[in-house]
Amino acid sequence: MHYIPYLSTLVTFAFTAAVFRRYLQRRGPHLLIWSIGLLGYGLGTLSEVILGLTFSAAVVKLWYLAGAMISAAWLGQGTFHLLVRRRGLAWTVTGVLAAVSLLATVLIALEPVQGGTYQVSQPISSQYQAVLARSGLVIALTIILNIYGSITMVGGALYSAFIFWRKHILFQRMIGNILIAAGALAPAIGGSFVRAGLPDFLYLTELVGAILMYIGFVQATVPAPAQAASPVPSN
Amino acid sequence: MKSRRFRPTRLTHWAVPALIALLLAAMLFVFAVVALSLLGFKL
Repeated sequence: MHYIPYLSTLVTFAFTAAVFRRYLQRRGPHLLIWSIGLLGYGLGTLSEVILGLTFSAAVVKLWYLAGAMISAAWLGQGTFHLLVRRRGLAWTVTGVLAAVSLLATVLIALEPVQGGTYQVSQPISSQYQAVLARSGLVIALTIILNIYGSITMVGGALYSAFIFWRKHILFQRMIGNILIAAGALAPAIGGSFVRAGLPDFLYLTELVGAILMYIGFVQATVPAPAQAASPVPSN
Repeated sequence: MKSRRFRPTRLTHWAVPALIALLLAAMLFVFAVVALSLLGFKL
């Protein structure tokens, strides 16, 4: 299992670079916000790489903050920006998410870490509850942010795929959105395995999720044959 | 506009909505696990 976070980090940072490059070309705010979410995802898997080599209290906090708390919500927020036509509403929700993310950062920075029982041979997902003390507020924020991220990212991608299917248009984007939804769900299912006492699956589902979302993004951004306006915004 | 359309096959007609429904069910499963663990159920 130890080599999986290396692959996840490589895939995720390549994916982040591809999305950010597209942002520099197209300037869509959803692309910038997806880049932020993917950066968080990549920092989470990079933390797993480091924690497989040595213990660091700061890296444990980074792993929880970036990987478990904020990455899913920011990925979902990118989809929210893409699908919600009211710019003011989208930016207001982004502002709220930024404030909540800042609060999460402060709370995690203040939480005590006890590394006495930490074993580098075991995944952090199987040990974090013993290592990182989490207040009720931190746990509540983690759940709220992840549910918001799942609904917006998975729900948004499935909604787009359904519209394309119903109208029989943009086959590649339809497939791409299905892959993005499946990829976004993979680490969420991995998180459920952690709750069910099977923490080893998290690393694998993170890798599968990053690969599926990357392939989905590539599929969804294949240029359409004709450049007419799209009924559902493109990725 | 016409070139943006795809010809639906038997596979896309059934498989795509089935896949979408499956993924929605998976999302609900994740939420159910979170809710059950919050309610104190040992999973």
